[in-house]
Amino acid sequence: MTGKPRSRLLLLLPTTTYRAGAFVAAANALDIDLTVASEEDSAFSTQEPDALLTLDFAKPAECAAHVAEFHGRNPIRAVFGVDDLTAIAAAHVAQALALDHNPPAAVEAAGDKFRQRQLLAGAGVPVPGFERHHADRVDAERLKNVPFPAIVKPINLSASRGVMRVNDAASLAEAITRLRSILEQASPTTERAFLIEDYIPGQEYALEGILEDGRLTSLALFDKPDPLEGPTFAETIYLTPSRASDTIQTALHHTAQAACAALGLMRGPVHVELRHNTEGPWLVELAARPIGGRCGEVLRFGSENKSLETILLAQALGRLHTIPVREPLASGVMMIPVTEAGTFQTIDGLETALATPGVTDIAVTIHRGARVRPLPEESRYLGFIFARGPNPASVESTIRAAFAALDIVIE
Amino acid sequence: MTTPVLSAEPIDELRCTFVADRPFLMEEGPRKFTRPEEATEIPPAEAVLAVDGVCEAVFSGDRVVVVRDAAGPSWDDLIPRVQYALGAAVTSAAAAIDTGRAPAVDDDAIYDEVSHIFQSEINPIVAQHGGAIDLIDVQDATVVVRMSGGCQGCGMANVTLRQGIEAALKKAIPALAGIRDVTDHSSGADPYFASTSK
Repeated sequence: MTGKPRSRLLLLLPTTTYRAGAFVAAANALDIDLTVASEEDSAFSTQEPDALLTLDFAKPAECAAHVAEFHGRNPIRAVFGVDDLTAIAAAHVAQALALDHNPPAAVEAAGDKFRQRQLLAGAGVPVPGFERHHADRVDAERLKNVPFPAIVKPINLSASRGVMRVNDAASLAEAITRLRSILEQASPTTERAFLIEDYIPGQEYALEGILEDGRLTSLALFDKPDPLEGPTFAETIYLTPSRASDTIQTALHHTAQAACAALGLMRGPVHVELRHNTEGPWLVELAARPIGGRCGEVLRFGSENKSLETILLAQALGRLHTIPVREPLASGVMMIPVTEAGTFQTIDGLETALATPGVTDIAVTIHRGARVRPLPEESRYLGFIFARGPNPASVESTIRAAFAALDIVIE
Repeated sequence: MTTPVLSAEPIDELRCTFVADRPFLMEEGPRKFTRPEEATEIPPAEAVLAVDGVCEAVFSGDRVVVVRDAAGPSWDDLIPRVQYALGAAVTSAAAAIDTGRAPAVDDDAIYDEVSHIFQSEINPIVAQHGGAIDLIDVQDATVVVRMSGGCQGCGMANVTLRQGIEAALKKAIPALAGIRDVTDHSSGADPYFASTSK
């Protein structure tokens, strides 16, 4: 007599991710068989071929064919991609294996800022005015019509890399020159097109949500208390629950829901960046993936304090029957920014900062000796400060006190 | 086993640093404890959280930053009690190891087998990525390891540990309960895969 076979999840994890530990821990908590695929060989790929795969995520059709062959030997119940690129590969794999997932075209549209803007604007979702340009063939006549202030934004870089506010023609020309260099350094295959779009003033928010049959449920709405007015857009503190009024929160949710529908997204995580001003909500970015970096660690759900990653993998496996509510405490995270270029040496004062009442963890995610540059050239963080407290204001002051105790050494 | 020397230096009204002449924990990086149930297998943490008026403690190497309850006893009152609790916990934990406990599983046999597998199979494989895995201890069938070289700070270290090393060890040693990684990954200077993306 044999027992019921365990479900197998294929997790697409780029080697550059911050989130391997969180997702592998979530898979272990769900008591499933896990196969991890990365774009480079694991040291144990030969010894553990059922547990470790190598896939070229930049070629989703090849990924799908490779996984279909693997699926013949090790049936896969679900596939999950953790970032923009792997979400596209996961959609193609799921389609090939007839698994529940977003349509590949919807995920691809979410990963292309120009296509995304076109679809959202066409569906009446409020987005900044935008125009597509090419870094190597700039049309000087079109640039004369740019309304200032404006935002220069690469088509498919993430985490605010390459994003710059420009206030006049001179700063626009300078930003385009700088963007060419950033695109060259990012990757030879990085899309050379970029957007120039209207600068939208207002308070910025991030909505972490999950889609089921196209219906969006908000897992958390984050306030971003630091002003994001340029010239670059370093994300620092995220706080939840939001202190916005119920009216604003409802408007933000409706806008995010409309954006998901316009792109054709049906299932799984979405991370949505929005602004709100006197004209109402604006959709700034939407990604068909969960929140980046290690920020997901700030979220805990239900009486068992489940992680965001556990919720997302459970949904992918068809095991999420109800979407649990976030814990009652307020929580927040600070992405420790790179403020100067140089070689990272150390962060002193960690123990003192960690002993700030309310701080739950501080993770240093950059290694000693790493060359770092601030935005817009690079988008790495030095680490993350996590805190919990009775309300968002106390969490914000806790995070700021902990950050003040850190002495970051970059030489 | 002598009692560890414990100096105490308040940082501010709520926090005080205690420094011993030896490490408190096997973990290399800082580790915070706020609830006694988090500390049940860590005697120094369990002891310091049991002191009335202490609400949090951050251990890192040979030092611990203790946070007191603002409405509780002052540092004048707390410092000697924390010093006593920490000293007693460290010396009694060492004594328990010296005299030996009745093990539920044969940790020594597991240690010998894991040591052999690390030397003959695991370390030659991780060496291909410039890494190395040291076997630190086996405690209640859980293997305690420290990663170095290309593994220390590697974005895929956890994948290597769970999908590669743990999987291989469990095939060879079915009684194995799991692996605990005590590496300070933030101190890794040359990770094989560096975390950079969002």
